[in-house]
Order: sequence, then C-alpha cells, then structure tokens
Amino acid sequence: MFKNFRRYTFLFALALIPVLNSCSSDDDEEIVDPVEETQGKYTVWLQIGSWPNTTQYVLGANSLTEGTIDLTGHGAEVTGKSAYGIITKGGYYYYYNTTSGRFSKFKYEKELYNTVLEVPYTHMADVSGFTWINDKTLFLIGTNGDQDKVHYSVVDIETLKMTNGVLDAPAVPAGFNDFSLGNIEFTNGKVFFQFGYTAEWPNPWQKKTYIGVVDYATLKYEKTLESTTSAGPGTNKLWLSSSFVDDNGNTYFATNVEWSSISGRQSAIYRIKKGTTELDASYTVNQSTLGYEGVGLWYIGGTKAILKYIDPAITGTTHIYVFAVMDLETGKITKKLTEIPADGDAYIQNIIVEDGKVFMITNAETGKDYVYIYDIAAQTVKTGLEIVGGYDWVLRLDKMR
Amino acid sequence: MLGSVANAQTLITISGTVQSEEGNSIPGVNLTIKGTSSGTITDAEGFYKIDVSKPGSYTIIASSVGQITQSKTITIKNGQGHTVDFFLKNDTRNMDEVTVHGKNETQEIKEQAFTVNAIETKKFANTTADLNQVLNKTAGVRVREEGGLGSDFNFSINGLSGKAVKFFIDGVPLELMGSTMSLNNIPVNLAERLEVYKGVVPVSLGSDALGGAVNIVTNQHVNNYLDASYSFGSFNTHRLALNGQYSTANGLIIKASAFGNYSDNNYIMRGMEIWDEAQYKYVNKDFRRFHDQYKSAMGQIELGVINKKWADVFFVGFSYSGTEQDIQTGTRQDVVYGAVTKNGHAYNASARYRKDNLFVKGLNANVFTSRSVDNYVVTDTSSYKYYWDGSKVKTSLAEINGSKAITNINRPRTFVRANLGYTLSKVHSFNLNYTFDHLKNENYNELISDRADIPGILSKNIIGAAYQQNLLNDRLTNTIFGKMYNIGVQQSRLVTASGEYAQANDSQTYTGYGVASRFRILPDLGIKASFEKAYRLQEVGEMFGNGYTVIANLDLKPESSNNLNVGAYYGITVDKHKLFVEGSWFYRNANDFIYAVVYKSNSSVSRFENTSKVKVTGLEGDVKYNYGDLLYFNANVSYQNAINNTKYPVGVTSGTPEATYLNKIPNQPWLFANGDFSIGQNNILGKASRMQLNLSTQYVHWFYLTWEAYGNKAGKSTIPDQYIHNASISNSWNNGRYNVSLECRNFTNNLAFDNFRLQKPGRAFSVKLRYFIH
Repeated sequence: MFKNFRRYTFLFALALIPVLNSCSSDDDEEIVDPVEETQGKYTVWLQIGSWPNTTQYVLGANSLTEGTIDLTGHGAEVTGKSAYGIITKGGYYYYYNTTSGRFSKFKYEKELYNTVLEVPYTHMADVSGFTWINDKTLFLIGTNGDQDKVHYSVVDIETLKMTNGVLDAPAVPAGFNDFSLGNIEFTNGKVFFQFGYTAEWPNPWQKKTYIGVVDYATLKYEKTLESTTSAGPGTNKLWLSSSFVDDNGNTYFATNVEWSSISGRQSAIYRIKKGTTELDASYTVNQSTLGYEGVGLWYIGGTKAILKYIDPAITGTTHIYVFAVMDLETGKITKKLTEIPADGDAYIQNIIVEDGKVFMITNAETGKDYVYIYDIAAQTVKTGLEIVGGYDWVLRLDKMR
Repeated sequence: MLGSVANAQTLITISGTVQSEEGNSIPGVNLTIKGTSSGTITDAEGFYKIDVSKPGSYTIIASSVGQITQSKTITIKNGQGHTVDFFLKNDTRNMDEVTVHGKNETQEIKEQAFTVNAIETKKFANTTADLNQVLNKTAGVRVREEGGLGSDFNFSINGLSGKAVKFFIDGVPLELMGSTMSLNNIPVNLAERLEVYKGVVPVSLGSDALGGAVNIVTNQHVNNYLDASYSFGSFNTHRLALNGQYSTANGLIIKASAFGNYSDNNYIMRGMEIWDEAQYKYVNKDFRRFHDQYKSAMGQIELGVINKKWADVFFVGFSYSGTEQDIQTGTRQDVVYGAVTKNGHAYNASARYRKDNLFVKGLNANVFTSRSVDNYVVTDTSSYKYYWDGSKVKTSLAEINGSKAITNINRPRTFVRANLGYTLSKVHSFNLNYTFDHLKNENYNELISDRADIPGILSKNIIGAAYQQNLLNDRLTNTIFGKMYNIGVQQSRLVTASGEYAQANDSQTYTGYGVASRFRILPDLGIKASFEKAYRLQEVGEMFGNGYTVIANLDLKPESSNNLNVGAYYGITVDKHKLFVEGSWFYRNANDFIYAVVYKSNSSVSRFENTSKVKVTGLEGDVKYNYGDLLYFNANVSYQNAINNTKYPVGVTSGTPEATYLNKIPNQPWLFANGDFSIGQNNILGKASRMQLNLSTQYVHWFYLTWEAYGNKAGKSTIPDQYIHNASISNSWNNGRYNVSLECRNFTNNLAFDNFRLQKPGRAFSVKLRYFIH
C-alpha cells in the first residue's frame, strides 16, 4: 500500500525547492564493483581527518622501494571493524573486539577488508600481549576485568578455537591495584611475559619489572624473574614492539616508563640467554648506558636493533620520538637515524625487516610521507614509496606475503 | 474546578451564569477581574463564582473560544454579594480567522530581525510528541537519536551541534533543572512556544551559544488553568503530563508542572547478529530490545505573586527531576549491554523577580537566581556478556570497560541572571544582560574512591548589551549588540604536557559582537540579515584534563564562529487562504573546535585540542498554508554543505595540507525535509467538538559515514535514506476541554537510523487522553 510513498515524498521534497536538485546528484552514483586486484605484498594503515571525523584505512602496496600510493578511491575503511593495534600473520589480521566481544580474522584483498571468521570471545579485558607458538598457534595474554589476574588464550588461527586459562602469577601486592602486561615471547618451550604492578592515579607504578616464566606444554606458571633497574611491562606488540628473540635464541625485553609517574624513572633492556630461564645478570643495558630513554625496540638481525627513544633536545615539551641503530652486545647506539623525521607518536608499529633492509614509517610534522629504507649493511637511509596526500597518521606497516 | 477558595468571613462573592445567545449555559468560560490576577471558569452548568476581598468597583470580563468577549462593571458595597450574568454572542468568525488578521506572538517573533523558528506548541498538544520531535520537524534543525524514548541524541542547528547549541527554559539554561531534563523527555504540553535561534542569539539568552539556542517558553498567562494528559502506547510506553496554575483569593499564585515517562523501549531490532554454535558462525535474526527501560519524572512548583507594588512578578520555585535508565547498546548495535544503568537526580531552588517601570518609566528589570545540585551515576558492574537474544555468559569483565565502575558525577551549580531593559522612546531601546554561572564538576568511581580527587570549578560571567532602533514607523529594525565572556577555571591538580603535576587556575576574557536588521518592504513582506561573532567557552575538563587519561592543555582557545544569516519572508491572506513563506541562506565559519585528541595511541592518554575548522553554508525554506480552520499544510527543506576547513593538523602551519582539507564533513545529514498536513472539522461528534486528522512525513537524504573521497567505494559505509511517516487523529469536546487522540508513528514501519546502524523504533501506536481547562 505504501510502496510508492517513499517515492512521492522524495519527489515532493525535491520539487519543493528545485534549486536543491543539483545538490542531490550523489544519488546517481552507483556503488562500483570492487577493484580486481590481488592482495598487495604490503599494507600501510593510514588515518585521515580531525576528530571526531577520523577514519582509518588499510591500503595495499606491491613495492616499498618506489612509487606512490594514494587513498583517493582506494583502500578499505577499517574504522568500526578493528583498531590498528592488531595481530598479523600470513596475509591475515587477527583482532579482539572488546566492545562487541568477538575475536575476528580479517583479510584485506581486492581493496576490501573482509571478515573471514569471527567467534564470541570474552576471556580477557583486552589483548595485552601476544606471541606465536608456531604458524598456526597464537598465544594471547591479558588481564581479567578487575586487572588482578593474568588470563591467557591459545588460539588455533584456522578455526579460532581457543584454550583459555588463568596463569598463577604472584598476586598484586598491597598498595597496588592492577597487573600491567605487555611484552611476551615464546622460545625453547617457554612463554616469557613481562609485567609490572600499577596503582591508582596519581600514585606511580611499582618500581620493578617482572618476567613470568610459563611452561607451554603444561601451561603451568613456573617462576618469576625480577629487576629493580626499571619498571613495568614494556609494550604491547599490537601497537609497538620492545621485545624479541634474536637469531642466536637470546630473548630481549625492554621497558617503557614514559608514563609511569616514577620519579627518576629509567628505561632498561634485559636479556635471557638461550636455554636459560634467568635474567642475564651480566647484561646491564639501560638508559645510562644508552644515553637516552627508550620507548620501543625492534630486532633487525645480527646484533643490531632499532631503538625508538626520547631525545630531550629534540622533544622539548612535546612528545616526539627519534630512531637509532643500537648494538645489542655493547648496549650502545651505533648510528642515529637523523634522516628519518621524528615520529609524532610512540605507539606506532614502525618497522618491517626484509632482505637486509629495514622499511620504516614515521609521522613527520611537516613534509611528505615516505617509507624510509635503512640498508643494514651499507648503513644508509633513503626514501622509498611515497604516501601521497597529507594523511595525518601513518599507523602501521605490515608485510602480507 | 479551580474556583477560588472562599473565606466567608471576609470575602465578598460575585457569582452568576454565562449563557449563549440561544440561552444555553456555556461551560469553560474564562471570568477575570480586570487589573487583578483573580479569575475563574464556569462549571458544567455555566455557573461561576469569584471572591473579592473589599468593596469597590470591579470590571468582570467573560471570554470564551467561539464567543465575543464581554465585560461588565459593578460597584460592590460592604458585605453585599453580587450576581452578574452574561449572555455571550456567538463569534461568527472562527478562531483561526481571528489570529489570521492579527499577528500572534509566534508570527511577531518570526518577523524579528533574528533568524528564528518560532513554534506554537498548541497544535501538537494532543500528540505524544516530546520537544525534540516537534523541533525536528522545523527547518535547519536535525535531531539524531540513538534509540527510543529517553535515548541520547545530538541536536544540530544549521550544521553546528553538540556543545555549540544551548538550551533554555524561559531564558535560563535548561541544565539548571538537572541533566535529566532534556528535550527528549519534556512533553509538548509543558511548553507554550519554542524558539530556535540560529547562529545569532539575543543577549537576553546570556550564554556562549556558538551555533544557536533553543528557548522553551512556558505558559506565562495569569489565568488559572490545568492541562493534564496521559498517553500509553507501543513498547509499554506511558507518559503523564500535568501543568497548571491556581490563584488564591489573596493574590498568591501557585504554578505547578510535572511529567512522568515510562517505556520498556522493547522495539524490534532487525537482522541482529547472533552466534550459532551449530553452524559455527554469526547469523542474523530479529530480536526485541531487552534492557532499555526508561523512567523519568519531573516536578516543579512555584509560589508567588503578581502585580504588587514592589514586584510585577515574584516567584520562588523548587524542582526535582530524576531518571532511571537501562542502557542497551554502545554506540554500535553490535555492542549489547544487559546490565548497565544510568540513574540521575537533580534538585533546584530558584527565585525570579520582574519589575517594569522601575524608578523611571520604560526601565524594566528581570532577575533570576538559582541553586541546583545535579547528580548521576552510571553503573557498570556486571560480569556478564549479553547477546541480542538476552542470553549471557559469565566473564570477568564489566560491560562498558573491562573493569567495573560506578561512576558518579556531581554538579552543584549557582546561577544568576539579571536583565535590564530600557525603552527610551518608540525608536530607541536598550538591553543589558548579565549572567553568572558557577559550576563544580566532581567525577569519581565509587568502587575506588568516595570523592573526586580533582574537582574542576568553572565560573562564567557573561555581559551582553544591545541597542535596538525602530525606524521608519517600525519598518526598519536594527539591533546592535556586544557580549563579553569571562571564564574562570580552577582545578586542584593537573598533569601538564611534560608529565608534571601542578595546581591551576586561569581566567580569560573574550568579546563577541553582532548585528541584526529587518526591513519590512510591505506589512507582510520583509527581509532580514544578522551576524554574530560567537563563542563556545572551554570547559574545565577540556583545559585541565582529568589528570589521568586526559592531560592538560592550558593553551586551549574557545571555539569561535562567524555566523551570518540572510532571509526573507512573505505572508498573504485572501479570504480564508493564508500563506506564509520564509527562506534563508546561512554561513558559518567555525574555528578551533575542541576535541579530545588521543595524545598517544595506546597509552589511553588524550588531550583536548583546538583541532578543526568547519565552514557551513546552506539554504532553508518553509511554506505554511491554512484554509480557515479546515486545512493546514507546512513543508520545509534544509540543505547544508559543511566543509572541512582544517588545513593543517594541530601545531602545524605549513607543508602538505591535510588530505581532508576542503572535503565535505562526513557523517552529517545535509539534505532533509519535512511535510505536515492536517484537516479538521468542528462539531462532527457533538457540539463544541473538533476532529482533526494529521499526517506528517520526514525525509533525510543518505550520507556517508566517513570521508567520501577516500577508500574504495564498494566498502564504504553509509547512513541510508530515512523516511518516517506519522499519522494521528484526534477529537476534542467541550471547546477543547476533553481530548482523545490516536497516533501511529512510522506507520510504514521503515527501518530508520540516524547514527550508523543504531536502529530507531519501528511502527508504534499510542492513545492520548487530555483534559484542558483554562
């Protein structure tokens, strides 16, 4: 009966002020078919617009060494589907949507960000850290809602079937309220996860870093390593890296104490030698030895890592971050990457490493946006792929295949 | 019904009957004694009784809809009772024609120099509409609701919304009544008129309204009246509204208003995703909302006097308002809550005083002062995850955030408004307005603390001065005004950008100004133009943060905008035909919008910044047509083009402009229209009755959720076209005393959402019963 009602009212509305007809030309725009294009070899995540109209996109690229990419008419919106703090492997993305209570597997292909599979999931407040047990098995760590327990999930990434449990980590000590979790690495049958305890604001964090050791086969919490040099859990690899296992099987854990409220705060890097479950007492690399407070750390092969750090001379009262190459053995910065503009945000997954080259993104305040290429052997920096268009934020860089 | 209380010892009674010229008694006739606030209404037999306190000469006026008003003067000597009977002649002109030839107040306001929608709510009095629904039908206004009765909404005037729009009730901020009073729960019967000022706001509404203001005008008449209504309808919705005034014989006036709303809001959500374990995937099904119960109530009483030597009006008042609300979803419909609640209470005490011709003729003073306490609590302590079928699973998490919270927000507030108007002559008049607003904001989670660690204190002093000249026999009106805004902010502790703690207070002053002009080319044809440099001042939390997740920004500037309106109106009346057309063009150039910017992506630390600039231009048109009291037709169309004018990100002044510079602002309706048609006939169901049928339609053109130019079109989200059609039929008896109406909203049951995939109610029926005596 009212089938035509919509049309009539619409006609009426348009007829009322004919001059407005020109404004509704968008009506004629057909939804275009997806572009026939296979998945790019790499993806770049971008954000445009000022709040509240910020939108995040994922955009594919087949080369990071040359050419340009541009969002105009290309790429897929990810806002509303996932944040850019996300897990990626083998061309897929894995994401825990805490608000809808789902764990999702996405694939970006043909310029669409599609849900491959999603399942109900509520086992933890959020993913505070993750590590890969193997190519098919993901280990997630997070707290319960009250943040006084450490929960884990072992995820089969094909089916998204989970094994959930609680780790028997030491209880939150008096004077503190919450577990704070971050770095986590799997090596040699053990899961190592870094943690700290935090108090209600305005009280500072507890001035201690802990590393819990879990036997993966039995999922038993075995022991706690601790240090008073620095504090806290490091960082969550969803957003920013500061732990890794090197080519020799040694595991490194760094801290990030920028927002700890600790007076005389100090960042540090810890090492657990291959095959052991102890902190390497002989390894003393920290803010004093490096000369700067670190916020992020990526392994780039051999004994080298890229340190993201705070240089007060550059930072001033703002929060921008610079990069340097450091030697893990000596604990010294070997080369400041001054060619790479300071990053406007600490929590950015800036780096992928491929074929002896480090590909880096950064958020320069001014100038064009590029993927920067650091040649590890030649120790040179040059610009690669240009990200055209004045995007506010370059959020992450991922390798799809 | 509301006859005077007789005190036989001292009072003298005047009584009598009122009959029509055919000799039938007339109930509901208004009897007033000229120059006093005394009055009454005839009963069912046409009988009345008024008491006076002393002998003297009195003029009694009898007036009623459909009869010609009559007055009789009598002289009363000591101790005597008097009988005064009236025989009223039928008024052969009907009511609407009377208003056609004289301009009513609504019409006068529309012909002001300001760009304003003035809506007489009388026509909606028999509907179940709340104020939002009435305003949403008018040009340039768009209300975006998140759900059913009582849900959160965003109100925009000419493309500016949120904190840019301020709400008033009789010229004072609506917020004084508490955060539970909002346009979506105030029944239409509590208001007599609604005014929407677009972009340029008179100084008498002393506030920092960047984009415009809505003023709710309540019944200010001196007569006794009672308007009582009750409606019930779909989704177990019940609404009650009471509004009345009563004068005692010794001149004390009691004004009271109250309302109550209840709804389960259990409308059907279509195509919701739910996990199917057997198929091992999410499937789509329809479900009823199950946790969206909404209750709200308000009661206000005012006691006072009028027409005293020392005061034309003096009232003291008290009000209470409260809500209890279940929260069903987050900002997206796939975020389902089953236990989150929001409850609020507010108390307010106020006094108002008005004296015309204070000291000298033409100097009018108006003072309002109030103290209020507003409190609300959001409770999120469940350890369950809920799904659309109402099922739940035990988790360790609260629903909104992971950790459990009982968030308390307390806002004690003191407000003073003083207004002085001086009419020097017919040509020159002046207005001076001062408001003082002192607000403390306390916010804490009661599971952790029993008080706010860092309450913020905001005080605003706003002075406005206006000069109005009426030239060429009132054909040309010019108003020039200036506003001075002083803001003082104070917080005991803040975290600066460098991460240090400090104590802070700050005071800033800004000056705005504007002009509004109207030229009447013909008595019913006019053009008008107005301009204002307007501000929206910073809030304490925006400047100082909360010390934890939001860090301070002491360099924050207020939002500001240059607003310009140009318009014209034309009215024509031929016999019973009456046509009124208005159109306007507007321009808004708004700078320094304040938003929280996530300072560091995942450290949960953000900071308020002056992030963005928006330029809005638009057109709107409105046509009204009446044929006597038989037909009424109204249509309006609004078009607005909001462009992002932000060239560089915060803190940057050169280099590559932002990608979105000069792009159309996404997620904003930009073309919408309303149509309203009604037809009515008297005396179908008995004498002095009227039956009325009303149809209305609302259309909102589809729009993109995100920036139009970016991303592959195939994957882009849109908010689709919205068509909502409503119908109602009502009948009133006894000259509007008894009213019954049946209403169906969204009768085509179209799927509608204002916000991305947040479904609004489908088809809904209601019945409203109303008793109105005046």
